[in-house]
Amino acid sequence: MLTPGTLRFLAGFVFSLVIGWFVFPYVLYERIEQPLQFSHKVHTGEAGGMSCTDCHEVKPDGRFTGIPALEKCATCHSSQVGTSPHEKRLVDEYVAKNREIPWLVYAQQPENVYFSHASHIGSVECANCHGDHGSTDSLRVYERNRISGYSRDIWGSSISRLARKATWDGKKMDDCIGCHESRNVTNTCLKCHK
Amino acid sequence: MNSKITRREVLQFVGGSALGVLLSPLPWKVLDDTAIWTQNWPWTPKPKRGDIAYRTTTCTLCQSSCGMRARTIGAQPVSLAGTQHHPFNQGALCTSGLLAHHLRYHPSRVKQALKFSVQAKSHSTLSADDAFRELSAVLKNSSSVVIVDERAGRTVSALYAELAASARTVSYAPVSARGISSLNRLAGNASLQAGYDVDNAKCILSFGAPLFDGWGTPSLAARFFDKRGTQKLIQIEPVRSRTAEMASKWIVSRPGTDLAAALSFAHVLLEERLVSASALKSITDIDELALFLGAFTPEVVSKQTGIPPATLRETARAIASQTPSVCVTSHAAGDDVQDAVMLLNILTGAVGTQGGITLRAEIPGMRSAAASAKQSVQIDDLPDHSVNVFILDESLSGSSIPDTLLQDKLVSGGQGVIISLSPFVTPRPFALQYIIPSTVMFETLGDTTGPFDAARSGLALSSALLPAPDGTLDALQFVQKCAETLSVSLSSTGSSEEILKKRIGALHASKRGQVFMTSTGETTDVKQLATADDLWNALVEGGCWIDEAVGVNARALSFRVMPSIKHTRQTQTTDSNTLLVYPIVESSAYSGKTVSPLMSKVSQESGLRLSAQDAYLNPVTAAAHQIEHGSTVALRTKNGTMNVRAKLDARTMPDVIFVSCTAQSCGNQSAIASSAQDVRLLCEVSSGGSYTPTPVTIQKVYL
Repeated sequence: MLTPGTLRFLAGFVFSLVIGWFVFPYVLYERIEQPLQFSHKVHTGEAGGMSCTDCHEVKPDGRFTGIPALEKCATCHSSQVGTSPHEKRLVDEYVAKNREIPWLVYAQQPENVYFSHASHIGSVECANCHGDHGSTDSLRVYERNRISGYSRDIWGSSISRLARKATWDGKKMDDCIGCHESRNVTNTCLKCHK
Repeated sequence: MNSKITRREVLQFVGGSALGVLLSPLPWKVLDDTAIWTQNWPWTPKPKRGDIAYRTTTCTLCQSSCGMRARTIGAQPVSLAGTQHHPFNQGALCTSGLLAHHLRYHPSRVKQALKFSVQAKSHSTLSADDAFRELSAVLKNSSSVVIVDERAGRTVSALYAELAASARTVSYAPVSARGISSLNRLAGNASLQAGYDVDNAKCILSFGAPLFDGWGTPSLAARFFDKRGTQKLIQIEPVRSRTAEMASKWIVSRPGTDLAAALSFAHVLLEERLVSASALKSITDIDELALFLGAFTPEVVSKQTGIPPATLRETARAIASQTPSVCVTSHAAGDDVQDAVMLLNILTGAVGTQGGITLRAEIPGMRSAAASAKQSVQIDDLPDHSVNVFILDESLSGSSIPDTLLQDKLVSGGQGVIISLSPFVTPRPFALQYIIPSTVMFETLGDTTGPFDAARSGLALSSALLPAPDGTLDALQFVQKCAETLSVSLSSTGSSEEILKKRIGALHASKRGQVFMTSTGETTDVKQLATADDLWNALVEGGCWIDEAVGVNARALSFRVMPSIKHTRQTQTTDSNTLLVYPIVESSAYSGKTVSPLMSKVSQESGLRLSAQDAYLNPVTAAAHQIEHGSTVALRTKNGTMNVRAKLDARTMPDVIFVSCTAQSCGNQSAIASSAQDVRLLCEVSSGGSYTPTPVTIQKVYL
């Protein structure tokens, strides 16, 4: 039989666990909608037939363009080609006004990290780090850490990082090191921190 | 029912909560995120984002004129690397060059004219107009003005010489690579131009020259190791330096005895008839020389240098038999040592020989070197206390002329004036000093001559990647201002680009030499370039011009040696029981120069480079004086007292304290001005300009 004191102790214990495991993650991350919806599925599927590198290209000098600039979108969408309201917004609010789209980058690494897409493409699949992003029909809500300012994708979906779903679930330094070690690639500090 | 919550009940709940929190991610995640948050303060500089481009240009920090490739975001250089296949540096850069883009933002950067009173206790700022108004009065009332140019051969050098030729009170003092100026002196020909062809030498005898650590081009070490087995380096040095560690043979000598060692080698060469007939014939006072060298037998010299007589003989035989050989010295060596080492080069027939000291033809498009030479003076030759004003061009990479020398030549009583064209605060507390703010690399277009450790002459241009701050001048603008102040007309006036284009136009018209083009990585004959603009564009894009012509025939040269070396009889043997202090003066882009704060922070504090605040002692010597590693010590010589930090290093010789004269540490203007100390001031200088080991007392300072 539990004494009232033990019960109070357990109540405090359970309360903190709930706060720490469920309320805290919810409060920690600010949820922000992307400025515009975008369907990777439409572009990479049968209708679009495009590959990742058609938009996220590596230039001949080795530089990765990241999220394409508006100019790239405008090559096909200088005027509306479909019926999607999102495409209409793209044309009316951005292409017509020549305004860059302020995308929120899920996988944005901190300033002190040098990451070369050029040296990874070819040996690592895009999905290895970005999951099924290339086949999604809409852009999920961007979650921004209120303290560090980083995207939640850097930490990963699990607040404890004890249960990592896949290789793309988290892009912390430990994740990079783990991948490098598994592939027998050097892990010196200056490799990523120039 | 009693609903009052007791203190015990609260504590029971809090205790459970505390345990629960610890078993949740909350504290650990907050700790992690807070750590990240502290790394992202709003004031932390962030790399600029934008279009990445690459620009090739030329480094002007030292005479090596290395080709460099700047990675730019917009116009801003964010990282530097060597230009691959560049003929001057073969893709290598020194640490100063790698961080040259930081200099624009250096804490000691001057953007407004400064006037330092004597003793540098205070300084005031001036507008450019006010500064030149005051300088006008100073220059017009001075009977002896000397312009010091440590990077002779540039376009501005010709204008300095022209200014000196036109103004009665002005003299021009070009400072060429130290060993080369010795050749001029011994040949009695100030216009002679030469370079060390170290790449083709089979044997290099180095008297303390930091060959692999800033003496010449930064790729020298790689080039040497590429040829290991076919090229031999003999290093004579009291310290186990990086060059000594990598040399084929390291001969340990006592500090300050290079002169005696060089004369001993000369003695052996003559005694064992290892000198060619033509070399003997070229020395006009050979009989007097032979008589003089008779006193420098290896047995006698061994007592001074600490080098066994057999080693002295073997080394002399090596440079005579393993030809082509070349003998080199540190840039810090005095004229006496330089002349003695150049004598070795003459005796071994290295002068005018491939793999030795190659004679260079004059670069077209300049005021004739002979004409400039007529106006030129050597600072050492000036009578003491005879100069009213020194004009120092420190715009490229500072000055390595010892303050003691300037102080000796300036009129006494603190009446001398130093006008310094410099991007940084360079206080000289013994004179009234004006600092005219100059541009730094990447802010101005300028020309630079090729390295002295190459067989042939070269020329390159450094491009302006960024706008110069308001109020700063480049050297070409400065010389025009000086000419205006002295009411002198110069043959070339206008913008720096206009003046430099005139020179490149003349170079193209000569149809001489080859040009390395960064766009193709290949070298093309100048005569194949249709217009001068083609040559200009190739150079502005970071290429370089290399001469094909050679200078005067070495057989036509004659040398008079004795006037330069006869005073060396005064070389003294130091008592081995006396504690001595001796400066290690680093060369090239490091020597007394202002470098990136990152370099002074990382390199010096990590011990990778010597620090100007440190004295290096052998642990045995330190123990004898009860000094621990890192303690502050006072060094006292008859020239003064200075506080430095003791560093124990087993590589240093017992009973000798080595002090470093290296790159200046980072600091703001007032800090540098108030803490200016030069450990070289403690040391005595020989009549030939070499530092001599100076008796010193050392005492621990309790702060």
